[in-house]
Amino acid sequence: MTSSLIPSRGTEIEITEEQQVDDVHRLITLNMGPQHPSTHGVFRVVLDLEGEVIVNARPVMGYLHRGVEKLFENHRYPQIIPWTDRTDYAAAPNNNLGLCMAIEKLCGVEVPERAEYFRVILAELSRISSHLLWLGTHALDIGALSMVLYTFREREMILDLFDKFGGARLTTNIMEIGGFTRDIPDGWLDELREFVKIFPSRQADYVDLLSANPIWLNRTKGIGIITAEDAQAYSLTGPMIRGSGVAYDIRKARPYLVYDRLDWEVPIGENGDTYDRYLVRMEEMRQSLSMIEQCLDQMPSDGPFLARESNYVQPPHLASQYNAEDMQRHFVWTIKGPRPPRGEVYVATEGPKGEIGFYIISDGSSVPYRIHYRAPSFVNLQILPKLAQGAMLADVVALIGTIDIVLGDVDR
Amino acid sequence: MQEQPSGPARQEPSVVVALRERFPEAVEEFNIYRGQLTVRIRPADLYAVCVYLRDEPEWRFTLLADLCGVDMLRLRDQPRFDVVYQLYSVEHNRQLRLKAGVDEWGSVDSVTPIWPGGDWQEREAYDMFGIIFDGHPDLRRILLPDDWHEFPLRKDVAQEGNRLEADRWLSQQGVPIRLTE
Repeated sequence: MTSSLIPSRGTEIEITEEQQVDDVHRLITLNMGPQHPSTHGVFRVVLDLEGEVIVNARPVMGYLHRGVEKLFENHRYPQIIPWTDRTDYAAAPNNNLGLCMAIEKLCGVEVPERAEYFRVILAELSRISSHLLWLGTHALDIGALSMVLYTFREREMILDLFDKFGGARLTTNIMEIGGFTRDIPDGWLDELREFVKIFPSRQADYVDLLSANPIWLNRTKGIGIITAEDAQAYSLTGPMIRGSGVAYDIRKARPYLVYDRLDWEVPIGENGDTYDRYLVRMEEMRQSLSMIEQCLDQMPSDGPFLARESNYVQPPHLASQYNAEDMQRHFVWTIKGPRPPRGEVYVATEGPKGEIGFYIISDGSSVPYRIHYRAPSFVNLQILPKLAQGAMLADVVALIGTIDIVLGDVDR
Repeated sequence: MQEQPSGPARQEPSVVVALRERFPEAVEEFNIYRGQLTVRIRPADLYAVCVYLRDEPEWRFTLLADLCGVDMLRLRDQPRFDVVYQLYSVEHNRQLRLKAGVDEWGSVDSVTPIWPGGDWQEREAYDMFGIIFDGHPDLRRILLPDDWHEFPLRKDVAQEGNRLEADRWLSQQGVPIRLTE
């Protein structure tokens, strides 16, 4: 029964003549996934093995495909934001930010300074939470079982912060076109300061747990080496390209929001192996935390939180409850939706896993003509067959872990 | 479809000038919207232009950031599809968007031999639109099942797709439930 539900995806397992004749060097085909705990979702790799060495790896995906791009085309612009939560569900605010920035670029909306600072705070918190998920599960896959208990403890604090501001932990739907419609709740920033205070010591604990762990070191050092040329040729972005020594970070290369006002560095690796990517992501968490700290200091305590741009931006919730004109505006905005001008933009932001790109073509109506979502997990995963070739079977788990995929993002 | 900057004194961006010099026929048109440059390339020249843009020290677009298809059915007559390439140069920190038109069931040169990162993105464009990429090493569906009956992101396919066909496919897979009456 279960097998009959799956078969039509890449099940064409070919046995060559060579394999049939020569029994000693016969390749064994091993099916890993789609229900495998260390594929982080429903991802499947068909592996051709010679002994324990991988000759060929064929990724098969699409089990979680929901056709979000078709859904994007059939919803009005503000209705699309919740869909982006469900692509990379481990870092929803980053996706919300990517889409909102693309729509704002298309419409030419200027976001107030205070909202920009707060967006940076949310994006960096979400980056830390995504990296914590990655660190816990990556270590769990490789054999450091206790790691996940500690990283999830801190991740829970971040999700609680999202919950208190936006009302949801994972599918946050936390940003709006033009800024935020709700203000920061009382005490939220103090809670964030508390997190900023305790997180460095907790991160030092992670390092203590892993840095002297021989299993961790043996299974990450020298595994999955990517050269700087390969990283660019395979369109890798995010920590994957930086682990190979290419200092490409969109926040530095084309600063958006207030990243150019913050003092931070782009960590890069030297050898391009799994261990270097671990170091890069660990340092990124430190940098993110320092960015949050700086934002807390620099953020204006008062001021507009939402752009006043009547055509494209909804009025603040409170205003639309007390003010007739704003209520009408809110009604029209909700029923008809904003109508961006005709044109096309591609806006890329730096997500925790790589470049989150939204390519929007508008035909002047309230529904986008086409939105293409450039999913970092999907593009980064392309290098897996190359990395797996010649590696040991057990390394596949480390390789999938180091690419840091979320299957909602791969399959969309 | 885009808003063109008006006036005869429209400055040609340097990359367009260089492309016109090197490939006289290649640049069909270009436009700038919100500061982003889009260059439409004649499909016959696409491969040579991409190789030039990647290898020329002046440009070095070594990273194919994104590749996607667009169905232009409701916006123009011919050709039916556009393939959109977002290039990035790490060395010069520059972005460039290329476009090439493709007819229905027509084909365009694959850029996978130039940027291996184009592999899955071209497969996705094939999967969603039925755009055929010449020279692609392994052009199969990637997100949908291999024997799926339609190209879902085409504008003439409804959001819910062809449900009769989908049900037929499900029953072939041995799924006992039927979704439609």
